[in-house]
Amino acid sequence: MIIVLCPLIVLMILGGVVALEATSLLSSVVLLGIVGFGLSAAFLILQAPDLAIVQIVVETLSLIIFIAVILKTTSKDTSTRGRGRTPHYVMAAAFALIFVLAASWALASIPPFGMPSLRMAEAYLSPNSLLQPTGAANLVAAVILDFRGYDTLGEATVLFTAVMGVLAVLRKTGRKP
Amino acid sequence: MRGMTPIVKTVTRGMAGMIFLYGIYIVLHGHLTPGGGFAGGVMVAAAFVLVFLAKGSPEAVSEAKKERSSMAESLGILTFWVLAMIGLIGGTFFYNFLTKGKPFRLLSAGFIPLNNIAIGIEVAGALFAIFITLAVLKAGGKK
Amino acid sequence: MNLIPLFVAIPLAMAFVMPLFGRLSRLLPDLLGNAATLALAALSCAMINLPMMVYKVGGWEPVNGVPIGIYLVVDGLAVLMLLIINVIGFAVSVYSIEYMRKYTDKARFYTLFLLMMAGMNGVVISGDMFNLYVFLEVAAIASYALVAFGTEAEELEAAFKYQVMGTAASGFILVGIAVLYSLTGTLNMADAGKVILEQGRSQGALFAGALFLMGFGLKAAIMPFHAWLPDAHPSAPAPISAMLSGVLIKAIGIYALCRIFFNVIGLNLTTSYILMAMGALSMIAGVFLAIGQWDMKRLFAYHSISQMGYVVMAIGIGTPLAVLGGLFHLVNHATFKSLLFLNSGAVVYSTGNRDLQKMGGLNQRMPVTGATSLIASMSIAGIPPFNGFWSKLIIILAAVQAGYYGLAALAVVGSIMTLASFLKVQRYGFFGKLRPVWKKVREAPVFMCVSMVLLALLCVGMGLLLLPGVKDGLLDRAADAVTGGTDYSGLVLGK
Repeated sequence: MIIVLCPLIVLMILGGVVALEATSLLSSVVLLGIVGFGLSAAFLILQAPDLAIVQIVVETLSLIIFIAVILKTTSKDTSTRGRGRTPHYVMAAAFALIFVLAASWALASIPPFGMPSLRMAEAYLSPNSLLQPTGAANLVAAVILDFRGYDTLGEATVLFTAVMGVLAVLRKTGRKP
Repeated sequence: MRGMTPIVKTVTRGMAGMIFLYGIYIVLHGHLTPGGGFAGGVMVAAAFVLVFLAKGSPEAVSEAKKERSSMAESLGILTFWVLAMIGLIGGTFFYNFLTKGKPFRLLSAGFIPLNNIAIGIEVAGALFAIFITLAVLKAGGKK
Repeated sequence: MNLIPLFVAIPLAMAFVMPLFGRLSRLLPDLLGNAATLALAALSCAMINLPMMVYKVGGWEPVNGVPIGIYLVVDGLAVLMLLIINVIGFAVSVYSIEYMRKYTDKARFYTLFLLMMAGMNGVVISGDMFNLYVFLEVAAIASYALVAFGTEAEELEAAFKYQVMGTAASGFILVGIAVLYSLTGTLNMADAGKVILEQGRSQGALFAGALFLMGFGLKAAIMPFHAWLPDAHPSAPAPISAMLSGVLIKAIGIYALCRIFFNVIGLNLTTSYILMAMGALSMIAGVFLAIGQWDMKRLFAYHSISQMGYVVMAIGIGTPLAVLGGLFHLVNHATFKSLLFLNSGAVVYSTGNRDLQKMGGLNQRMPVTGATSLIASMSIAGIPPFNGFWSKLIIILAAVQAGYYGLAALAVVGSIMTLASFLKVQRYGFFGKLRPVWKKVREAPVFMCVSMVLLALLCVGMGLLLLPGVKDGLLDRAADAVTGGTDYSGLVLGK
């Protein structure tokens, strides 16, 4: 599992870095696809098919929307590059280094994944869980729509808010004359 | 928006319906198999987006379509809210008030399939509304 | 029937209904929006003096003492925050009736506004880390869109900057929650607090603490993380500036910081020192940056950083008196800073200008705005008997009592500088000679005045919250919830 996962994550990080440096926005977006589809594959390897399905369809649709917008507007990256950016790179690299060191130091104290099964999840996974109190055969559906349905209302609201925000910001005129 | 080549149009004609149906299947079986309202809703939206991209004409994208898909989104999430509130009236917010039925049947798990359908409508409406908004923006031009 | 979920359910319902029916009539968005905020304000007043309440969403009882569903918890601190959010929210929504006429698409404005209210209420009543994060995102995303509501280039740029910083903050918070979840195996804050107490504080908890400090620090705009605030807050429409500066940075910044650090991870001396240092830095640097500003809204925005510095410093000191002072200052800041932003909105509404150098003598033409802004300025500068004086006094006394004489001196210096910069606002903006350009200026419309007067009355009257009988019911209970620390677990889960 870990043998497949590590190269995949390295590939995703490389995709992200190269996407930042690409001169054409179109290639940038396609490179970001590596991150998205790589994440989907990672979910599949970690045995989370629900997440993998959502990730792959969301990635596909957002890629289509990005490309449609870029084809209609411009694919030129107008941000400043080259000179004067070295301090930013140094700072970013320093932050990343500190973050990784701190994380690896801290994560040593965390018990390995799934062993023992998480305190809260134990009840969801109980031996008679096939006949869950929720009656759902898909454990994930039982958790996100019944045990933690309130969270899902919140997440659906996040999407609703995002759409309302897009519709509000992309109005033709903001102020009345 | 320009349409695409006849090859794309022909393939789209065959594919879009199937993608749509698969999305519906994923939504309806969310409580039995992997997937659910979010994944299925995105697929339904993708089917619509596909048709629009392939056959697109200036008349196809309009303000009215944007409003309608935004309304579908509101209706979907409002249904989810009502399902949660029925529980509150009966005792507890988000109480699973329907009978659980036999596991592995399509009609089981209380209100979970209903929630999945509500979320599916919401997600499909939401993503299609974003797509249409961006298309209308270009067609109309801002400022 | 327990009514806690209604704090989220009411604004959400109105927000969902608005796109369906908002276009039927021009009055409907105003009616629906204000009905929702009025109901919320009434509901939050009904929460005063009730005992601590725990609500199990979905009716999921704990299994072997471990909570498996989501808990909603309303304790003293949450009641205080609910009061701030919903009362200020009501005043702001009344104000928006008139003010938002200058913008198009009012229905969508109210939708986003109510979503922001729902998000903040959701954060405050939540007893679950991930649930807190979800509602924090609802509030944050609604606020990104609201900052850009005018859709001018400058506003879009500010909103973009705000969104990038906000997303980075959310990322830190989410990673922190993930670390804490894998460490404790539970998302329930009370249960997580209990597990951390049993395990002893490991490296994982420290790392999560650092992530939370960065994340919530960014959301609260404490000094090293403040860069987005002076752009984002002035760019928003005035009612939204009032909500962002007055309420949002407290609900999703300071409140969450208090909850996680005091009730879940537990405060230690290092964190205390870091909070004090960050607070003192914000307090002084914020006021020095503010005093040079000529744009009225930008000046107020820098003062938000400075005044939040007082709150963070007091909470970092951590003695019961300091925490009481900090929370009291948080409440007071919510009233006078929202009032100041509403005043600036009234000036912009009537004159179309917010540059102090071009104003002058507006008192003659806009008496209500002038008088209420004088009250707010005196409050923020800490002039007795207005509310800001009492809370600053308590903070300074608490710093002296705890032996931090340097911090007390800095707080006094900050207060004097605040007074100076608000004398500048009053001198250039509202007193002095009326310029000929503004001869025809008229006072803001009636709903805007009503809302400003309401907040001004609160500024004058809030000192009464310190009276013995009133203090026990509200402020003391909020301070107890914070200083009680990890007792929170026992109270929520039941021994």
